[in-house]
Amino acid sequence: MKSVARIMVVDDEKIVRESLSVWLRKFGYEVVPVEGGQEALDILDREEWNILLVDLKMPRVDGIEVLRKAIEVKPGIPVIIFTAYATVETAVEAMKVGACDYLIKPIDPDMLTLKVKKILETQNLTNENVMLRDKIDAIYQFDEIIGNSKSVQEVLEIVGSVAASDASVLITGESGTGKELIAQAIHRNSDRRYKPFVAVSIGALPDTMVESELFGHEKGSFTGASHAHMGRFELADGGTLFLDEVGEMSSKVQVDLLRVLEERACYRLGGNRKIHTDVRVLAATNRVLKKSIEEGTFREDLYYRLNVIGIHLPPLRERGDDVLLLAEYFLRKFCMKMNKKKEGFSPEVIKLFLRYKWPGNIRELENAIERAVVVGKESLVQLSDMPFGGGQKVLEEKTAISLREVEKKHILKVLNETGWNVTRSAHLLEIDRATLYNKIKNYGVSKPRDQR
Amino acid sequence: MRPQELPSKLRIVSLGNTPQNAEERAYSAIQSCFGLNCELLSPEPPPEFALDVLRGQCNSLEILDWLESRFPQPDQWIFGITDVDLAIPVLTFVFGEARLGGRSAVISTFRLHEEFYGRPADTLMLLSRIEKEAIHEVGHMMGLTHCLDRNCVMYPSNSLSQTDVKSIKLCPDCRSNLYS
Repeated sequence: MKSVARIMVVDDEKIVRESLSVWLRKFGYEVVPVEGGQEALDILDREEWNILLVDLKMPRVDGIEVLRKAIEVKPGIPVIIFTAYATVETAVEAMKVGACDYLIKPIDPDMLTLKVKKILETQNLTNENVMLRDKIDAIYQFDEIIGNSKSVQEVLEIVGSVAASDASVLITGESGTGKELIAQAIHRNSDRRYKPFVAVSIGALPDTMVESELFGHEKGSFTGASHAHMGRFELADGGTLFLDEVGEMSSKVQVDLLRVLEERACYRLGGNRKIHTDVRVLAATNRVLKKSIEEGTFREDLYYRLNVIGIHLPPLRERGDDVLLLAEYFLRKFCMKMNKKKEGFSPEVIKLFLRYKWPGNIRELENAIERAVVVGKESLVQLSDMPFGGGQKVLEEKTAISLREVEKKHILKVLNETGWNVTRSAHLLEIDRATLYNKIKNYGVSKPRDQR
Repeated sequence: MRPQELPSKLRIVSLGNTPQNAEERAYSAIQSCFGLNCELLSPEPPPEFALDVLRGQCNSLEILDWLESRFPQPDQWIFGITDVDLAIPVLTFVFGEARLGGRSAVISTFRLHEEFYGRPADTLMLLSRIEKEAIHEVGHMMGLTHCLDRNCVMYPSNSLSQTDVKSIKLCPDCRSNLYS
């Protein structure tokens, strides 16, 4: 049940305080009539009040005095001063001291209703806001960034020190190393944490869409633009924009992005209104951008703009025993989610985890364990529960040909099976579309002529 | 606040000149909405005893006091209709006044006339407003407070547009509160 708003009505004239109290009670408020300034101050901090309605002219302690003390005792408490003897001076003084309104008796009932309603609505929103912030903090208390290895501890240290600043951060690392997780951790530990965190995966968007996605567009700016559309920069205003796979940007988009970062403002496609944005940009890539700069595919000035602080996430194979900690974490997570009970991993699986190269990094590990929890029958996760077709097979193959080659072959096989449906293939491969696009590009895999 | 028990009778009385059929319309509206046993009394004189000469308005609370002493039977409620302008000291005007969970109420037709706002008279409109105000104030006597539903007759109206927008009925929530 909603709590009832409590209002204190202070007036030395009995008829006024009583009639106003009676009138306000009909709105369902709990109203306490008080006969003087001193009496009001006496009970002020003993109880909780939503609004004080105080007469200006009262013997001994007047309305301004009550207002002054009330604000001292309960900062932010809304006080409405009312008087039959209004002067500009008293009105100015009341407002200066901190009254939220100054009304002249007799008061228009519609105006009073509105003012009281507005104050209570604002209080409700403020309370709701505080509650939601607490909730956000509670949700994120548990961090998914797990690891004891030196490299991960170093990363976490940098995250802690850069979070509070507004500096751009470039997060590098192989696919699946948890770049977005790091970006989220930076956002959550920054002063922007109650504002939006907007992630956009540039690699997943066709070139022509990137600009409209980032900067928005006006209605009619291109064929199919039937509505005006807010860009991610606008959506992230006040918060953090995470640009994933920033290495995939075309040179045109790179120029536009650089301009936006420098001017801290953008224009929607087809629009001529300058939109100011207060956005912190975090970027991520699995490419070596230095190499792209040398090759002339990535602008050096943009690189320095994005890479004010650089964080490199090591691949899982270089993180030693972290793989076991992560495996334990994912096992607990999926067991809880699927309501299953698993004690841990068999010694063979642990050996495999430590020897395997994890080309898909943490994402691959997570998917492997999710699968194991689904298919596994025994209390310990067995080798046969692993999705590598018996586990050992992959290890054996690894010695014959490179993993790169295995992955390429497998991707091509899945793509051919699905008739080159990228979404379905990505789903089957348990990777996201953007990653698949990248792999197709990197491996130079192309659609057979007869399927084009 | 809830009334101790429903009255054996709700008595309706006009104080001074009131628009034609005002009491009858209030009578049938109250009866059909709350199912109370109503009775029309002979008219009483205008409430000059409550007049604030400086403001040219009558104090609605004093009228309630007068009604309660003029018709003191504790098991009967008393509902006044007047054509004088009503106010309480702290507010510029009220359309009506009732004791919340009490046994008296009064409404004024003064500001319900179209003519008050410089528009041509509209009797149908006037009578419909009287019905809504009557049900609203009796709702307070029954212990109902204001409702947030703009269509509910218990929505607070401090202007005619609010009165005209709301319906003549209690919303389901208010109706269930009535008998809870």
